[in-house]
Amino acid sequence: MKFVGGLSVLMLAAGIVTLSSCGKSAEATKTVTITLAGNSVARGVYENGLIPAFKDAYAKAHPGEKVEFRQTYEGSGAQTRAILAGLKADVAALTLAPEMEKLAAAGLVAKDWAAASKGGSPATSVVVIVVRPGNPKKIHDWPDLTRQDVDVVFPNPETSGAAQWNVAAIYGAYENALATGTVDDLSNPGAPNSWHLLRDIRHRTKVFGKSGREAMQIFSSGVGDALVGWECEALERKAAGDQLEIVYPTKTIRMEPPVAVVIPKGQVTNGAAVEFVQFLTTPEAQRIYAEHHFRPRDADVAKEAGSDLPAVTGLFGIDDIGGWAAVQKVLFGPEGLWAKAGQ
Amino acid sequence: MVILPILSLGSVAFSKGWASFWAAITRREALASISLTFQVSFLATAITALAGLWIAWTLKRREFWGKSLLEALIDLPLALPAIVGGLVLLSMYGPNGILGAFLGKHGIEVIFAKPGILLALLFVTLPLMVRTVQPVIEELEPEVEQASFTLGASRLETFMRVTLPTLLPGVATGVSLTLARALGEFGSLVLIAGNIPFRTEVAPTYVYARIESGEPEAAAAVAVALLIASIAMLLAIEYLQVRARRVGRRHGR
Amino acid sequence: MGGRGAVAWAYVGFLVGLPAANLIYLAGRLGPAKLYAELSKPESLHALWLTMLTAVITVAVNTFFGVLIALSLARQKFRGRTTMSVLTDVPLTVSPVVAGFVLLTLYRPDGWLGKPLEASGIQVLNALPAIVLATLFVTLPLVTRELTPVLAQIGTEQEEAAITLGASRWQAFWRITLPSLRHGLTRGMTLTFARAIGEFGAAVVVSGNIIGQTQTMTLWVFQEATDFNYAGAYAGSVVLGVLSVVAFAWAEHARGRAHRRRRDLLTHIR
Repeated sequence: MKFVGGLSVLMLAAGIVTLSSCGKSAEATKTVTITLAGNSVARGVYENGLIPAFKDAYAKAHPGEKVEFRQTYEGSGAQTRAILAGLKADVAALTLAPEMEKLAAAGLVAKDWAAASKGGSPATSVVVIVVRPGNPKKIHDWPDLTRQDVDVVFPNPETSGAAQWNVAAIYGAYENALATGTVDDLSNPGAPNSWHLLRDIRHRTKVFGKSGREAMQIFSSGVGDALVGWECEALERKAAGDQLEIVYPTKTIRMEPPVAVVIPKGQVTNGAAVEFVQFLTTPEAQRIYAEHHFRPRDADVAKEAGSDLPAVTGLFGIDDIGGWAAVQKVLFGPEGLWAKAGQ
Repeated sequence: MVILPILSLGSVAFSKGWASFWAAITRREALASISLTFQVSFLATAITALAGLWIAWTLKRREFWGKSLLEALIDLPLALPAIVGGLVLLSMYGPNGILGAFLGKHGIEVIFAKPGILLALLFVTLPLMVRTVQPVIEELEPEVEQASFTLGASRLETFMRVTLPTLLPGVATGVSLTLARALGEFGSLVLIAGNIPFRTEVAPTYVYARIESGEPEAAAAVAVALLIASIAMLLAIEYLQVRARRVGRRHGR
Repeated sequence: MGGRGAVAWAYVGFLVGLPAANLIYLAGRLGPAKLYAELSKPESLHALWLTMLTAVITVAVNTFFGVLIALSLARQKFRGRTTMSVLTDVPLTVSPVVAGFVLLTLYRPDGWLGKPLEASGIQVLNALPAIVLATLFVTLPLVTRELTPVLAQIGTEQEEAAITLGASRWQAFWRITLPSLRHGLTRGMTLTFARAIGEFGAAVVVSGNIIGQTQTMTLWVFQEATDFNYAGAYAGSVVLGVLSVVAFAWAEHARGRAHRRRRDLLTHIR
C-alpha cells in the first residue's frame, strides 16, 4: 500500500538524521554527563564560556574522562517549577535565593547551599534601565519610567526571577525600607512612595517577557522605549551589535543569582556537578564571568575587569531592604503589591 | 487516555475544595483573561464568518485569476504548525516587520496588543470557516434563486428567505469550529500576545503562566473552564452535524 | 458583488499570503549557507530527529488504536458509545496547553500515575515519554474520525460472507475491510503526522525543553525566536512548514481519492 511506502521514506529520513547526529560517539573515554538547568540570561556565559572551560579543566584533572553537558534555559521561576516537577537536573543556576530555598525545602538541594561558593552566588550583576541609542526619551531614573510617553518592557515576575530583582530594585530605591532595613506595607496613599512608582511603571509596561531573556529580545526587536533588566545582558547585547544604551538609576539593587548542586531524590550526587559548582569560584571562571559582563566576586579579578563596569553609587543588596522572605511577602503573590499594582 | 487525564485535572482543580477553586477562577486576572479570550474570540468568529462566507461564495460563483492558488493559501494556516504561524505574523507586524514598522510610525500597535491577538485568531480560523461553508454553498442551486427572482422577490428577500436558511446549518458548524479553535489558541499567540494581565493575557497564556510560576491550582481552575468550553463546542458541532444529516435525508439527498 | 474575486484575494492575501511570503523572503535573504549552518547545529539536528521520532511513534501507535476505536465505535453497540465518541474528540477542541497541563497533573511526581512510575524508576515528564504521550493525546481522534464513517458505510456483510466461506476473522479483516479503508487510513495517518510535527502547546508544558535532549523542532524554533537567533527560528520554521505542508497536501490528495466525501473539518481544528 502506498502509505506504507511513504512511511518508510519518512523513517529513512529520520534514520539518516540519527546517523548523522550520532556518528561521533565512538571514543574510548569515560563520559560523565551534567544536566544544567539555568535561568535564561545565563545562557551566554555558560554555553560559550564556563562550560567549554570546565570541560577542558575536567579532562585535565581526570585523564581518560570527559564531561558532557545537557542544558536547558528558561525563566528561573519556570526552571524551579520544572525541577520540582521532576526535571533531573544536576546543577541549578537560578536567579533568586528563594527559588533555591524552595528546592532545598523539597530536599533537592543541600540546606546549606548558600555556604558554598561565595554565598551560593559566584558572580553578581546590577539592575539597570536599558534605553534606545542617544536616550531619546531622556530616561535617567526610575520615575522617568512612569511618564505617559514611555513604553516599558519588563519580564514577568511570576515566571522570571530577574523580574523580581527589578521590582525589588524599584521598591528598595524609593522606600525608607532602605534606611530602616525593614519592610513597610506602603499603605499610605498620600506619600510619593514606591507603591506609586511600582503601580505607574507597571501601567506603562507594554509587554511582559516570559523570562529576562525574552524581555530583552522583545526590546531589541524594537518594542518599547525602556527595558528593566540585567546589566550583564545589556552589555552582552551591546557587544553583539545591538544599538542600546545603559542608564544606571541613582539607586538600584545588586543581583545575586544562586548556583547549587541538585541531588535528585534517591540518587547519588553527581561528583562532576560538585566540581563544576566549585569551578565557578576559581579565578579562571571568575575571569570568564567578567568577560561576559558579570561582576565577579573575586576581588582581584574584579579589579582587573573593573574598567568597563562603572561603580554604582546607590547600590544596595537584598538584605538592606529586609531580605527576600520579607520582600517577597510584601511584593509578590496574589495579594502582593505587584499584583495590586496591575489592577 | 482521555478520561483519566481529565479526572486528574479535576482532582488538582478541586484539591483544596470548592471554595479555593472558586477563589482561583474568580481571581481578577483569571476573569480578565477569560473575558478577553471570549471577547476577541467572538469578534474573530464574526469577522471570519463574514469573510469566510464571502470567500467561499466567490470561489464558487466567480471565475478569476489564481483561484487554485487562493485555495491553497486558504489551507496554509491549517497545515502550518501554530508556532510557525505566530512567527510568520511576528516577522510581518513586529516593529521591524514591513507592515509593523509602517503601522508603528502611525501609532498603530499590532504585536503585543489586542489587534495582534485578533489577527492571529483570524489567521488560524479562516480555513475552518471557508471549508465548512464551501460544501453548503456548492449545494445551493442558482436556479432556485433565479426562480425566486422571477416570482418577484427582491435580492434581499431572496437572500433572507431562500439562501440563508440553506446556509445556516453550515455556517453554524463553521462558527462553532472557529470559536472552539479561537478559545483555545495558544501556539500562535505565545510569541505575540504580550501577556499583560487585564490587557493582553488570554486564558490559554494565563494557564501557561500559572503552570510556569508553579501555581497548579490557579492553572487548573482556568483550564477546567477552557475544557468545559471546548466540550460545549464539541457537543454543538456534533448536534449540528447530526441535524444536518437528518435534514439532508429528509430532502432525499 | 466584488469584482471577480478581488475582495477574496485582498482578504486572504493580506491575512495569509503576505505574511507567508514575508517569512519565505526573510528566510531566503539569510541565504542557503546560513540556513544550512543553523540546521546542521547539533541541537537543531537533534530537535529535528526528536520531532521525527515522536511523529513516527505517534503515527504507529495512534493508527493501531485509531483502527481499534473506530471498529468498536462503528460496529459494536455498547452503553456510552456516544459518550465515548465525544470523549475521543475532546483532544481536538481542547487548548493544547490545557492538554499538556492535564498530562502534567497526571505524571507529576505526586500525580496519580507519576507516583507509581517514579517508584519503579520510569521517568515520564521532561523525557521522551512525555513528549510522545502529549502528541498521542492531541492526535488521538484523527485516525478514528477518518475511519468511523467509512466503516459504518461498508458494513460487515462482506466480512461475514468471507467468514462463512471459511476465512478467519483476521483474514476477513485484512483482505476485505482494510483495502477499503486505505484512503481514509492514509489521510488519517498523514494528518496525524502533520499535527504531530507541529505540536507545541502541550509539549512546551511537559518536555522540560532540554536542549539537544527533549527539545523538539517547534520548541527549538520558540527558544531561538526568543533568544536572539531569528536565523535559526526562520530556518526551523521553513523545515517544519515544508514538512507539514507536504503531509497536509498528501492528506488532501487522499481525501480527493476517497470518493470525494465531505471533508471532516473537526480533524483540522488544530
